[in-house]
Amino acid sequence: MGMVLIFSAVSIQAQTKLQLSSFENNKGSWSEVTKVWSDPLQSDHVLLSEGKGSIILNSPTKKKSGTDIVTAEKFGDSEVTLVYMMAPGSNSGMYLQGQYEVQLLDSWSKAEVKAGDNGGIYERWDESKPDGQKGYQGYAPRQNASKAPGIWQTLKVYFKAPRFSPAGEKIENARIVSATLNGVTIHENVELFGPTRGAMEGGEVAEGPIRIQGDHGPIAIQSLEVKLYDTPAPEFSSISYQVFPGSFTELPAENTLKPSSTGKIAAFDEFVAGLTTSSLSKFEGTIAVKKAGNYTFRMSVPNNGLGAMQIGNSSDALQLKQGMIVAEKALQAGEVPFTIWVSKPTDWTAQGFYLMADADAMWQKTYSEPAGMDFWSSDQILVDTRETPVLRSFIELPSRTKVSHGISVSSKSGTHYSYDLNSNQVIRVWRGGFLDATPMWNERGNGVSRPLGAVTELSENTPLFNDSELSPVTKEWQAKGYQILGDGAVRFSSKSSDGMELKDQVQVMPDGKGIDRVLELSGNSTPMMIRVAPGKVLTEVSDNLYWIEDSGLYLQIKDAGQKPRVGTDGIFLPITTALNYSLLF
Amino acid sequence: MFPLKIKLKSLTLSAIALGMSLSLMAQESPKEEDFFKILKVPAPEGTLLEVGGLTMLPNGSLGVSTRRGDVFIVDNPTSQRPNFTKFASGLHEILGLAYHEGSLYMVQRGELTRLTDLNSDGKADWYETIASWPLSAHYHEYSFGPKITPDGAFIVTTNVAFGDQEWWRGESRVPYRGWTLKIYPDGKIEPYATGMRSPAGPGVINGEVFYTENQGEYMGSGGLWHLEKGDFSGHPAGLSWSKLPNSPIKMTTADFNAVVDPMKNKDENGRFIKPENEVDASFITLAEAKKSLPSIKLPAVWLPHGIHGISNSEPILIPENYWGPFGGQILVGDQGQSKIMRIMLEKVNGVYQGASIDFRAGFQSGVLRMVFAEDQSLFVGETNRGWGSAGDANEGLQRLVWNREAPFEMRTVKAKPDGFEIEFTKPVDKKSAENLSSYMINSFTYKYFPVYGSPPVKAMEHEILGVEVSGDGRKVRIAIKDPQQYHVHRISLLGIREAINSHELVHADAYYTLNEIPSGEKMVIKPKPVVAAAAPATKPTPKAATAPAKPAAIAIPSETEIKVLLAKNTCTACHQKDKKQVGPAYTDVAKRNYTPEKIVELIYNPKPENWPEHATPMPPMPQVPREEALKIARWINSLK
Repeated sequence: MGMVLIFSAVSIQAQTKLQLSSFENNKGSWSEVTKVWSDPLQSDHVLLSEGKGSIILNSPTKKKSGTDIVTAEKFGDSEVTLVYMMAPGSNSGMYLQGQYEVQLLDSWSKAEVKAGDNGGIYERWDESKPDGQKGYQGYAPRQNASKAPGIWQTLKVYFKAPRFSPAGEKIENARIVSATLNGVTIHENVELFGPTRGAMEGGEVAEGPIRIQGDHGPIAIQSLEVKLYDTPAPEFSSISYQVFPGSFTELPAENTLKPSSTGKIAAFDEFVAGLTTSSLSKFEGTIAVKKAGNYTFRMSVPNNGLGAMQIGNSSDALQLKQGMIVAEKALQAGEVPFTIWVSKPTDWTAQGFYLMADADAMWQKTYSEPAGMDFWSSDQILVDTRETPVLRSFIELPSRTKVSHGISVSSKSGTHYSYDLNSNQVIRVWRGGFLDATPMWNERGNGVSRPLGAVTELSENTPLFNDSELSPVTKEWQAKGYQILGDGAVRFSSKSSDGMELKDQVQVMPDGKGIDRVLELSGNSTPMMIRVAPGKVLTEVSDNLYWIEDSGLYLQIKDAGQKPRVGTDGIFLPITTALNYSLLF
Repeated sequence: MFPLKIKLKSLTLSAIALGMSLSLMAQESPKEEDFFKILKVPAPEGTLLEVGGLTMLPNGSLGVSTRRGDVFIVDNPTSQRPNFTKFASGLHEILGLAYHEGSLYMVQRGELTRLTDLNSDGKADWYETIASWPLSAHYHEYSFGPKITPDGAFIVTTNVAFGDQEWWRGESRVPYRGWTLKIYPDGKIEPYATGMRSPAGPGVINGEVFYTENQGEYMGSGGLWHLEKGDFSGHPAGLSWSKLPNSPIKMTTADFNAVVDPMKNKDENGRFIKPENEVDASFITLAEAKKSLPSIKLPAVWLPHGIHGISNSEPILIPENYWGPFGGQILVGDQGQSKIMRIMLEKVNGVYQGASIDFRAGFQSGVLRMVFAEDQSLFVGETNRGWGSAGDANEGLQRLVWNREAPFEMRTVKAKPDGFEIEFTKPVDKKSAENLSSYMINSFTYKYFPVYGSPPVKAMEHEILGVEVSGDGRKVRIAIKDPQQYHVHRISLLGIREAINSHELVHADAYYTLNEIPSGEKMVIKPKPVVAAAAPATKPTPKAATAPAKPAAIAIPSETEIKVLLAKNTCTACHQKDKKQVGPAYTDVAKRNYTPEKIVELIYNPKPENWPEHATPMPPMPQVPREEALKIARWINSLK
């Protein structure tokens, strides 16, 4: 049926969680603390902290200047997950194998990002070139998926080390298979031709340490985990095949059949049936296993074709089946036999089949793919913010329920938000690309658009108005429309059945650091509470500025004397006739 | 060299064929395109006009709204260089636009919106919600309109959603899906009528509310309904809300299901079974159901599925002083067939009824919206994204221009106590008109059940008893045997010729929905002409013994024969020989290597799941005679 098979790489392998003790070269600027925070609006490059715990903090001072720290352990192919926090204006970096730097930077208010920005792959450097041309082969992240300084960010990198011949000659460059920043893909298949600027001495290696830059300002690390990919994929070899013409629903007795062709191939993609009509093919050979382990092989035949697979010796009779055929095997190092049957169900279907393997600590390996499969996926339709700065659509929430009367508002700064016109709630805010409208604009569409950048969810069908006990105030509101005031600025209007009027102005800050919201409520005299954000962990970082740690937000209160309240379901502010606050992220 | 040779050969052949058809055409009667030209409306490159709404502004500018959510104002739209200004953007699937009292109003999925430019920069910045209604956020919950009533209210029609397990069954998950709503300027929503399934064509014509519907479950065919407050047009989903205090319809879902079997049957695993047409099963028709369920409103005109469209869209009035003989009549667009039909309405016993007839085909994409320009040309707004259409462009804005020559057409068809009276746009050749064999009338109706669509049923041939041609040759009265109340009567005038040039009718078939048979005087039947009596004598004797024909089971029909067969059985409504349209190309069907018998089986019981890349499912076609289905199947397989 033309499905695109996606195998989730479920893994149970052990990960290495690095602590400060895993690193060398700490000259005193690095410590371990229980809590760290910052005032993002100060440009003082400071992270504040307390306690002694598991967060790794680099806090250079005049007396203790910052140094880079380097793990004692060395890594090859790996998946590295870093949860970190930048100080305002600060600069750091993570060098994979000590050679290739992924930049860590406060890129909070950048509308456009370069290789030197947060998540960028830093430039290489050639001192012999004239000024302005020394830097080369840097890779900017695809979009600015950064968060504010003082907010935890997550960088995940899938890294392949360079390969060397026995003689020590590099035969394959290192590669960033993919990298995500705060859940957004920022790199894919980036070939690293050599060390980036400031790499460790000694050049490229098969295994090297992780180095965290510490001489350009404070950074905090909540966790740094490394998962090794050191299991080589099994190889199919000595493949021989036989092709039997005709349409089959079960395996035939082989002695009754005459193959129309037979042969030997080195890999499945060399297979040619020699027929365009329906057929059944049998593949036999051996699988070379380099490392003992639990391997999962999956195969399927497209267009409702049938397949069968046997790995190793077994007395169980093989049966042709539709759909996904899975073989989970504990294999020792060495060679095991295999048998695979594949049908080509009709003459108009594509030739071939899917075959791949997964294992603990192994890159997923694809051995066979059908040739000439139709992809029913369509061209992406991305919303051009110059043509469509504001877009109505259905909006899907993390719980998969949909907001029916949704609207998304872009800004030139690259910070955007979505709003529910029925509940007068800001649904989410994000930084980066605006919207993917493929789900709504391809074919009939399902009416849904999706944000492209790094999203912070704010409201999931939570009511705006609450009483002093933080219980929802039930009142029937009717949307009255919205006025576009300027770039990223919209005023929404609503009326309640009992005559209250709400004017709700939401505006992206000019520098894109967050949103300002001004609510005006007329016809009301009862003090109520408005839910402004999810979260429970609140820290006052300066006057009227609160960090909501578990939501990755700052709440800034503009009306003097108001204090936020923490409820079971979020953070609340009081309103009777007006409220003015900002969210920074 | 060899392939080149083949190419040259086929080139020569097709050149000959072209020459032949050209010389043939010179002798043919004029066609649609000889009277109505389709022109383009030039737009800046890259402008995507998936038109969902059209409206004229008082200064002659054209308002265009699109499914992508843009609203354009096109100045000088009938000129060679119209100016496009994007007035608004980012709206949710706009499927209707109207200029009213100085403002543009439009219907999005979930609301009726007024657009205002507050800061005078030529772009709307105040998007005012006049009325908002709930949605379950199902993709099929489209909303259409607004059409303005004489009392200044807005008519909006709303699609049903579909079930999760019963994906084939329309359901109304929130009020008022599957309804026609009347919305007042203060935002008050008055539920007006229900029974809607996919009401893509709301209209207000001479101050009265009409709408067109698409074939689907409970909808045997598309049609044009006249809607009065409290009417129920056929799909039961909207009855979920008949208990709400302001519902003008009191019939409940239970009342309805007691009369029309919902066919909610489960298999042994407890999963619902999709209702399918069973050829021999007993059934009721919409008219029969009306006897027990008086809220049912019969369509004024059935638009026979596959003949007069497959997904009917907007109905509009041709102004009285426009388009010569057709002024005051109604046009209905069709999305899937990319064409426009003409409707000739009359009122009999207080009920609207009338005939539909083809008018103009050949638009580049699916016809969804129409509006007349000041110069009497017709703007046609088009889209087929996700639906497929005969015109293979995905979108378009075109203009239909009349050259002021009157085509030879049926101008009106009126019901008489014993048949019909037809008025022509030009005098007819009396000899052809007095010949009874110039006329063919047969009738049929549809099943009323939860199966997708319906084959035509209760088919009848009606003998022509007599004709009477008026002195000026412009009118013909036809008496037929047993006119059938509620049936669609196909009136086929293949033998009629125009008086001066002997031209055939541009469109020879009209389909009259006979909701009411008027009372009054019947025609005096003249004795049949002698020619008819002489006919049997000239009948050739079969020569089967001397010249055995190729057995029918093997012969592949000729191109001419297959064209007739495909058209007659309405296959060409959705299929083309070598191009994907609404359904797959016949060449693609051929590639599946079905046996002819298997193809026949699939004609009777299609399996849309075999063609997941096609959005619209094929209805069962048991009405295709087996012998003809086999011929079609053999021809399909010859395309390999």
